[in-house]
Amino acid sequence: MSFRSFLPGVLCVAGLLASSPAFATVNVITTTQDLASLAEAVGGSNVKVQWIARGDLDPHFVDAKPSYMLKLASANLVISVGMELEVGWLPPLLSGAGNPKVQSGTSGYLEASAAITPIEVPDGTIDRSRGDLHPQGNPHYWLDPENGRKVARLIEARLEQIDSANAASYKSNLAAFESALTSKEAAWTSAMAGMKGSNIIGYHTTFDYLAKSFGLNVVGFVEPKPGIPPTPQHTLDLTALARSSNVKYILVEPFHNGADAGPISSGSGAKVVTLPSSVGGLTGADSYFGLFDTIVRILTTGA
Amino acid sequence: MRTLLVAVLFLAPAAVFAADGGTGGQTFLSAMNPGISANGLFLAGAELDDGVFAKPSWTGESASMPGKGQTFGTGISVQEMEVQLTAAVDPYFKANMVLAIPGTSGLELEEGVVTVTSIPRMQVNIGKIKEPFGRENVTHTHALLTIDRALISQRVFGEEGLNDVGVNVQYMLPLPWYSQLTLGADAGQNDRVLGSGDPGGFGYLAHWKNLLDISDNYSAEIGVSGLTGLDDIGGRSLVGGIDLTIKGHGAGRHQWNRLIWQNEFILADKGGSNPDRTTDDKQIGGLYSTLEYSLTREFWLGGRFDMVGLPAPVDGGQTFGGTAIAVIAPTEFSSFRVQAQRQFLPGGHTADSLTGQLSFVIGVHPAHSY
Ligand SMILES: [Zn+2]
Repeated sequence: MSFRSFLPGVLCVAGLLASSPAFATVNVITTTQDLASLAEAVGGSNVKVQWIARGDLDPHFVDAKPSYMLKLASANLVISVGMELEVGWLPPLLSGAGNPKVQSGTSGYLEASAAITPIEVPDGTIDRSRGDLHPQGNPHYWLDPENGRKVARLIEARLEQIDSANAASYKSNLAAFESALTSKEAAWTSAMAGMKGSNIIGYHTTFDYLAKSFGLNVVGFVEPKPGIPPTPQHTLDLTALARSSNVKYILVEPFHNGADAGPISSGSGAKVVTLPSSVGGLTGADSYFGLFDTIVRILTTGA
Repeated sequence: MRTLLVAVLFLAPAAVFAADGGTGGQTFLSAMNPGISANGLFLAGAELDDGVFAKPSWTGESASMPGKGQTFGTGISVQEMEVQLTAAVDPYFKANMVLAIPGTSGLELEEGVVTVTSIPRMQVNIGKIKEPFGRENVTHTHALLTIDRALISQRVFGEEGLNDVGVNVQYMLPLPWYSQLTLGADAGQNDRVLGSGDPGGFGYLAHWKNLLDISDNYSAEIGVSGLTGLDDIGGRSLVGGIDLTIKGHGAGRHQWNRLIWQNEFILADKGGSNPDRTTDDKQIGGLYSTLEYSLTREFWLGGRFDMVGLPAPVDGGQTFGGTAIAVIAPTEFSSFRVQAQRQFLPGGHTADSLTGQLSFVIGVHPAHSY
C-alpha cells in the first residue's frame, strides 16, 4: 500500500468514526434535573445521565461544583434548557471543560428549547430597564407537560443521531414515555378541573407555562420586574389586586423567600404555597412525572 | 473512496450549522456580532495619611504608590471604564478583547487574547493576557470583593498586575479531580519583577490549579504559581505563590447565603546574586486573606487582611492592612460598595481611607468565573 492511498484511507476511517461513533454508554450531562429525567426516560440503559443544577436552587444563578467541569470533559452530549436561562454559568463551565465535542454548534450540544414554542417573547425595546428579561421568551417551559413531550422527542432524535446503533431502543423508550405521559396528563387534568379559571400570583414567571396548560390565570408577580426583588409600593398594589381579583394562591419556588409574599397573603387572603419548579425541588418531585404529581397534589389540597 | 472523503468534509460543517438551535429570532448579522459589554467604576473617597488629608488621586501628585499606604486619595474620580468584545472566531478559535480607559483619558489594551478551543483537554492562549498567577491576578477590578487590590499583589506586580504579551498552554491533567496545569512565556515587560529589556528576557510562568468538591455546597481551589525571568538589573527574579479559596452556599432558599474565603501568599526574590540589588528591595513577600458573606442576593459583607514584609521586612518593616466592606447589588448589573481601610506602615505611619464605588455593567450577560 502506497502512502498516497493510505492517507485518504486513514482520513476516511477517522471521518466515519467521528460522524458515527459507537458508544458503550452515551455520557449525557444536562443542566437541570428536569432534562435529566427526560433524558433518562428516552435513553434508558444506553445512556448515563448526570445533571448540574440541583432542582431546589435557582436555575438562573448556579454555583456549579468544580467536578462538573471534569464530567463535561468526558461528556458525549450536553443538554441545556436554552433561551439564555443558563447564560451566566454554562459557558464558563463548557470552556473550562476543554471538550470540543460538546461546544455550542456541535452535535454533542443540544438546546432543548429548540423543541418548543416560547411564550412571553418580549416586544418593543428590550433593555434591562425592564428587569433581567429573557429576550427569547420565557425559558421555564418544562412546566408544561406537553413541552416535556416535545423535548423528549428532540432528545430521542439527537440520541439516534449520535448513537445510531441503539436507535430502535430510543424509539421504543420514547413511545413508552409518551404513552405514560398521555395517561398521566389525563389524571392531572381531571384532578385540576376544579382549579380551572382560578387566579394566581407567581413570584417570578416560573409557573406561567404550568398555568397555561392547566387553565389558571396569572394576574401578577411578587417581583415587580423579572429578577428584581419586591418593592413596598409594588407589594401594596399587588395586595389590592389580589383582593379585588380573589387570588387563590401565591406560588413561590423553593429558593425564593416566601416571607416576601407574606404581606400580600395577609392583606388579601391568598394562600402562599411553595411549589417545586424542577425535579428535585421538593421531596416527591423525584422524576418528571413526580414533579407534576407533587404540583397537582399541592395545588388541589393547598399543602 | 475519494468521493466519500469529499462528502464527509462537506457534510460536517452543514451538520454543525443545523445542530445550532440557539440563535432564536436573531438575524444572521446580529448573531455574528461579538458579544459586547461595557463596565464602569466611579469612586468617591477620603484618605488620611498620618491624619492629614491626602490629595485627590486625579492630581497625579499622590498617584498611588502601592504598598506605601496611599489608596485613592481624597475626592471623586473614575476608577476605570472598560469595553469587552467576545466571540468565537471560527470552529477552532475564540477571541476576547478588553479595551480599558484607566481614569478619564487614554485607551489601553487590557486584554487581547485568541484562544485555541479545538484541542481536547487543552487551551492555547495567545496575546495580551491577564496571566494565571494565583487568583487575584486573573480577576477584573470590577469583579473583586474590595475596591482596591491586595497590598502584596500591588507591591509585587504593580497596579496593573502581571499582564503581558505572551502565550500559554493550559492542560487538564488526567487526575480524578479538576486539575489544570498552565505553562507560559511572556515578553518579560512587568517592570516590578522583570523588565530586563534583553532580547531574550522572557518571563516564564507556571500555574497549577486544582478544584475540589468538599461537599454538595462547598468547594475548594488550591493553586501553586511560579514566575521567573531577568529583572531590570539583569539578575534573575523568582516569584512564587500559593493560593487557597473555599467557596460555599446554602441550600434551597438559603442559596443566597454565600461564603468565599480567599487567601494568597506571594514571595518575590529579585536580582538573584546580583550585588547591585539592595537588600531592602531584594525580597518582597506577603499575604492577604479575604472573607465575604452574602446575607441576601442583594447585600453582602466582607473584609480583607493584608500583610507585606513576610518573611523579611520590606521598606524597612512590615505593613499591615485591615479592610471592611459592604456591598449592595440591586441586580447583577449594578452595585455600590463602601470600604473602610486602615494600613499600618513601617515607621509608625498610618493611612486611613473611606471609599465608595459605584459599578455598572451594560451589554451581554456577565459570565461568572470558576
Ligand atoms: Zn426566569
